[in-house]
Amino acid sequence: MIFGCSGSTWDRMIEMTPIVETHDLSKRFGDVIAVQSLSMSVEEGEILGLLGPNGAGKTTTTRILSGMIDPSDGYAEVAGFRTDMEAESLHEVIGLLTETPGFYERFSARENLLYFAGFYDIDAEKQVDKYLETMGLWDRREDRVGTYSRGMKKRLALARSMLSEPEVLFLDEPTSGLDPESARGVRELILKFKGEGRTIFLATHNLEEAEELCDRIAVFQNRLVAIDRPEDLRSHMFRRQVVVELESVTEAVASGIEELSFITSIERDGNRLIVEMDDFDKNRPALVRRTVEKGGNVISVFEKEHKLEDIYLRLVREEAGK
Amino acid sequence: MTPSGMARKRTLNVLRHEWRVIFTNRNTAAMVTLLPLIIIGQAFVYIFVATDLIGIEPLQNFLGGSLDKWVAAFPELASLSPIDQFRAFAFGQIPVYLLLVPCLVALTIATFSIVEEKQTKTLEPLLATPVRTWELMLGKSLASAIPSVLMSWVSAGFFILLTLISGSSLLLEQGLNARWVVSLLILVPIVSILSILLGVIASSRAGDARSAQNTGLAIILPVLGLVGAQLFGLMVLDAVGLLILSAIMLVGIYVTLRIAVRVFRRESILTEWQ
Repeated sequence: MIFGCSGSTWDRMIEMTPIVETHDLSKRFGDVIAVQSLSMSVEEGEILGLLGPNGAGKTTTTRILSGMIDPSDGYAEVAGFRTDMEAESLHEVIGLLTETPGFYERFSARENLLYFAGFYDIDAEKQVDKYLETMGLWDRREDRVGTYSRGMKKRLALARSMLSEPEVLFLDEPTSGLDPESARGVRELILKFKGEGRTIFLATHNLEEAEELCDRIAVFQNRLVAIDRPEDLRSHMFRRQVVVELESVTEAVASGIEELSFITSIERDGNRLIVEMDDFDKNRPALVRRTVEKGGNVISVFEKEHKLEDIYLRLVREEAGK
Repeated sequence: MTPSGMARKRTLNVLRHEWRVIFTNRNTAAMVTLLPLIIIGQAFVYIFVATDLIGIEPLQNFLGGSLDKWVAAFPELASLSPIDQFRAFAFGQIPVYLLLVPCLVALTIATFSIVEEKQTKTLEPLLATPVRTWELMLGKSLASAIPSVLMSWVSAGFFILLTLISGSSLLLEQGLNARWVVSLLILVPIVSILSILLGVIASSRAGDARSAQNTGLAIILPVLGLVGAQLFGLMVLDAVGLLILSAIMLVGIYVTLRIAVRVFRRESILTEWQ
């Protein structure tokens, strides 16, 4: 089940340019298929979330797209460069945040960043100082990285990935292992970079994070299961449902609702009725009227919200069942 | 900046960083600077102090006929006294014995450098920069090769200085010959490069510096074998012999370089290194 784009998404994308494109991309390690026939694109300036369970091939995909490993079949283009043939040129225009930050712990944050900045044709000192400030690490810049907390190391790694002002950022599990406050800080920085017009490819299994940050979500389990905006994924996978919360659900109320011609399904859940219907917006008042007419004491009526987690779990389970 | 200018900048960046990593680690810095001097100082003690303490006869008995073979190979030594003949013989072993210095120094630096990158997990972010793998390998190799060659020359100079101080200028006149030149200018760099390449290969499979060095130490065994073979008269390598040995080692470099380049590919580093 690969969702394409709904009308609104198409309208939006027509004006945008793909900056990451994969064409039938596959990667095998011996007999193990890590990535299978991946074809997708990421538009300039968007955040695309690659969601999948552990071992789904997210890191492998990130590594292929960032030119770190070559695909077994197919190819990918990022910012106009073939990832398998122009990796070094590609590295001048992308930033990569690896899952493990990886620093020379005996050296200071500034020394670490200056070393990595030395590989680019940039004003190293200026860029290093700029991103130490941006990441809130200026006051600790001369401290050895070994004394940093995990959250600070992540921010430092994010600073490292930004030194060359990359067009595209690949972030592999940017908040894994962080406490809520540090994770919040990293997410704010990601949104700040998006605000600067950068394209961000975010591999994560953190659903809340994906929902908060991403314009589109790609559910991935060694192959692309679905890709779309979260709200479009929702509408594709779940019909809109209304929840009628009552003091108590009586048979009269339930059967009274069921008799309505526009009702397509009704489900009891304790003192709640979960109802699906045709022409949701038009018929909702009639549903409430009928409930009251049949003696139901209504506490609240609201539309059931399907979280990204519901979508993700359904997709992953369906995929596993294949 | 031009592409070649950037390549030079990136390689020098690696080189400077490597030296900072190596020389801010006390153990490695001591290993690189003191060990060569200990190796060569020990040779001086055996040649000059031990002969004074135990006399020449036990040493002649220990060496069997190899001293005679040596004197036959270098007739200019025939006029010397037995003890000076022994010292000249021992002095003549130094150009080969000295090869232990580039072995140990280059291997120590190369393995430490790569294993530390593995342990700190800095290779992946490093490879995500525009640095080419050949620039990385060249920078790391130079960072090992330069101190290795320099320390070999310093050790040789230290040994010659000690010999001068001991008043054995005759030895220097008789023994400081083309073999020393071939050893210092050709064999030392070649052994350094070979040790580095073996260090890179060993480090790719090792989880820590010690096990990488243990594997890489395989290169020291042939050097020790050479020292032993000369000591016991199994072979006497004159300058031409050392040049032939250099040529054989160049073939070894070619083979190990091919393996090391394959091992040092970006994808191999990320997916195959332990």
